[in-house]
Amino acid sequence: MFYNYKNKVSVFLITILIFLCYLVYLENSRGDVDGTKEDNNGTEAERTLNSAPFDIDKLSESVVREQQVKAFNATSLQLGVGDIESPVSYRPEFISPLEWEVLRRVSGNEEDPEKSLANYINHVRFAKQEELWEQLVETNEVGRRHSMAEQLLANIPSRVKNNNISVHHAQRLQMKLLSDLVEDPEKRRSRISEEADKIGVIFRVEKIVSVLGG
Amino acid sequence: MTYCNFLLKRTILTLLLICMSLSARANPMEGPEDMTFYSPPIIAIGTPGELVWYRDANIDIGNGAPDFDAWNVLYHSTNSKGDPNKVTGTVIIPESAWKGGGERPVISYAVGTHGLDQRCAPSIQMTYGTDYENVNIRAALNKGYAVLVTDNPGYTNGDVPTYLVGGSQARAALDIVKAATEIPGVDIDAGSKVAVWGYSQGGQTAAWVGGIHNEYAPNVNLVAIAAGGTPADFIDTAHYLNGSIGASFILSAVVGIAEQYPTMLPLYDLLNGEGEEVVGITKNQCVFESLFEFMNQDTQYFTIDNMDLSTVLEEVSSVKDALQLQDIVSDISVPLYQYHGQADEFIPLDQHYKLKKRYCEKFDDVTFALYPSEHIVTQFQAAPHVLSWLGDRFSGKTMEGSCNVANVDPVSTANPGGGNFVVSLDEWVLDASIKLKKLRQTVTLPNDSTFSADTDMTSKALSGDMNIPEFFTKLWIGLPLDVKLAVIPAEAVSGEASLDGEGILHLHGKAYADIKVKSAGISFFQIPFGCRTRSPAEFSLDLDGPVSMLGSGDLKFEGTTEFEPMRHCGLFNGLFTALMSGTGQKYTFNVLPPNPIVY
Repeated sequence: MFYNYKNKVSVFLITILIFLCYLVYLENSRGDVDGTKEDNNGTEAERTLNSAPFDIDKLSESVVREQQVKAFNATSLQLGVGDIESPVSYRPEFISPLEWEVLRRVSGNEEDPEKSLANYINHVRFAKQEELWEQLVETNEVGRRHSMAEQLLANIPSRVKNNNISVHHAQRLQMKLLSDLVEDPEKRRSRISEEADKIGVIFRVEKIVSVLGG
Repeated sequence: MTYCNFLLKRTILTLLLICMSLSARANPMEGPEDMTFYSPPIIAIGTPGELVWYRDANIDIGNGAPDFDAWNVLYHSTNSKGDPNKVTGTVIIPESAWKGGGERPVISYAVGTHGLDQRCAPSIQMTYGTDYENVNIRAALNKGYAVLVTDNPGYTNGDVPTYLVGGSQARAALDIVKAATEIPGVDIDAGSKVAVWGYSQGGQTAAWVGGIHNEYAPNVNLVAIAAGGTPADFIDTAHYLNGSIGASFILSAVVGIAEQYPTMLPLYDLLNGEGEEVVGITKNQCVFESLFEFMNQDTQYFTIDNMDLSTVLEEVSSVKDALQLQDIVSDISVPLYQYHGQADEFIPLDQHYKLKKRYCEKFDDVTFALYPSEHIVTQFQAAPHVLSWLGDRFSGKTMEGSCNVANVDPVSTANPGGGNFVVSLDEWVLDASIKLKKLRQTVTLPNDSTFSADTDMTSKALSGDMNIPEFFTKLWIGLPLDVKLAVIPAEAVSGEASLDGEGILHLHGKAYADIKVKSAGISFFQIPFGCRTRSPAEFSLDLDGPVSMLGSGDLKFEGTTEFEPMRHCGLFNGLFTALMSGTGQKYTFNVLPPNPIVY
């Protein structure tokens, strides 16, 4: 009888121990999901998600909408982040599953699919951030808008280098962003000159005087 | 004794000339390499078509010509009065053997107006690669034909061209055929089939050949004539040109005809001081220089007492007679292809169509083709059609002409004279494609896309628009989704257009179009209807080249452009921006005149 009772307690303790170990494991796993182990290629959870085959027939309008919105909003978290470098094996948060699938397949036709995919991803992020900045221009969220403008300015040289945008387009965008960021005409001219230099353009002051009306 | 000496000297001289002539006939001389080639030896005598001398010609007729041999020739001919003269020209023969049946066919190519100065002569222009008719000559060579290009009489040293004297020009165009066969080792047979092809001044020459060849050169095996933009009625044409865009042609014609008929057209008795000055200038110009210098000038300002053209023709009847001597008689005995631009601003359409009717009264193998554009465009647009028609004639194919076509008479659509020189491209075919850089897909615009523009050579302005019918082309974006792209003209085409004194066309403008994306078919992938580039894509239209490009199918604009980011695509702006936007989008816009109609 005593032995029987002792055995039951042992089984109970062992079960408790296993459960505790499991909790510790889960805790560790949660840390990974929260991004403590995130790299350019996404989280472990995302990796697991992306390893599932993409089934277009199972998508619904509401799911796609939700995924697109989520990915779009994620671009605002990408401040101070440089270009994602190839190879990119897993979907970044700011790329929706649908976008990911399209970009993967389209870049698969390129001479260097890995490099092409990274370029697409960086271009999508830039495009979304530019769109976000345009949306913020209409709001009072000055701080957020300026952060986005700085992010775009920092990323422009890379977009030019990768032929995503022309120098001409880049310079126009620089001027628009700096019109938002820098109020003082003199400082703005100086900054425009600095930014232009980063994309290999020699900025002429007399030209900007007429553009900015200053 | 003195008389005996005189007789002796005359006899020796005559014998000498006969010996030289016989010797020349047996073995034509190689002529000098410099400009003295254009000074015929004074003592040379000969029969029409006999070669005085020749030399290898180093000519440049532009890219796309086959390998060829070329010679300059100086040969005997006769003018419209029957007097002997000597004419220069160029003989060009493809190096490759003729692959068709029989002997290699020959085209005597009768040039259009080149200008009165000696430097304008086709043989000299071809040396410098600047002859504006090169593209037509190349096209004929590419068919394997021998091409003979007479300079027309009057480009020898110290002479004045007898411009638009039809009888002289036609004789020169026939005589060069025999002269070419006398070049040692030349691949032309005396019995080869011959066609004469010409436009404008050359149309007059070709039509005149039809009237005289049976009598003047029956040994030339003439099988066909193609004559376009032909001034058939000189009085009518003179009135059409006077005070209009092509006024320089009547000024040059008066000089040329007066050179041949100084008694009938006593030029310096009719000119006032300004007129004399104008004639002096014209004699030293080539065609495009004169065209712009004397555009819209009226002859009355150059005549004594400022007589207008009608008064001169009424009061000095010999002038009228001299002009009418150049009219085309409607005799023809070989198949004839007539062609004319409906919007011809230099040579009136109706007088040429009337000639067709007169031809048809006597002969039924006459085809009249009406081209949609103006004078210069038609000259070059017609070339492939003419060569196709000539090819059928050389191969002996029979065809029904257009004498029995029951159309109402064509009505001219020429821009009004007396104003700016505007070459209108009226609903020309726009054969265009855009290669999407990222998606590696080529989007071809619909076949019924058109390009309309006015190229104002006087104000140097280009203005117009593109018309692209609504279309969508499927885009492959990696997934089985129905995604389509459209190109929609956004703003007017605008820019600069000019034609310089060397006959070089300059077009520099911009066209704009929105690049639009839409989807259909799958519920979750509905892209809003307004999905398009944030601002229209800009297509540069830049072209500098010979004026022949207007009609020859070479009005081709190529380049790369940038597509702005995509907007109004709902939740897919970013995706489509990455897929569609950016630099390096290649485009080709080929603008072609519409096809001719047989009348």
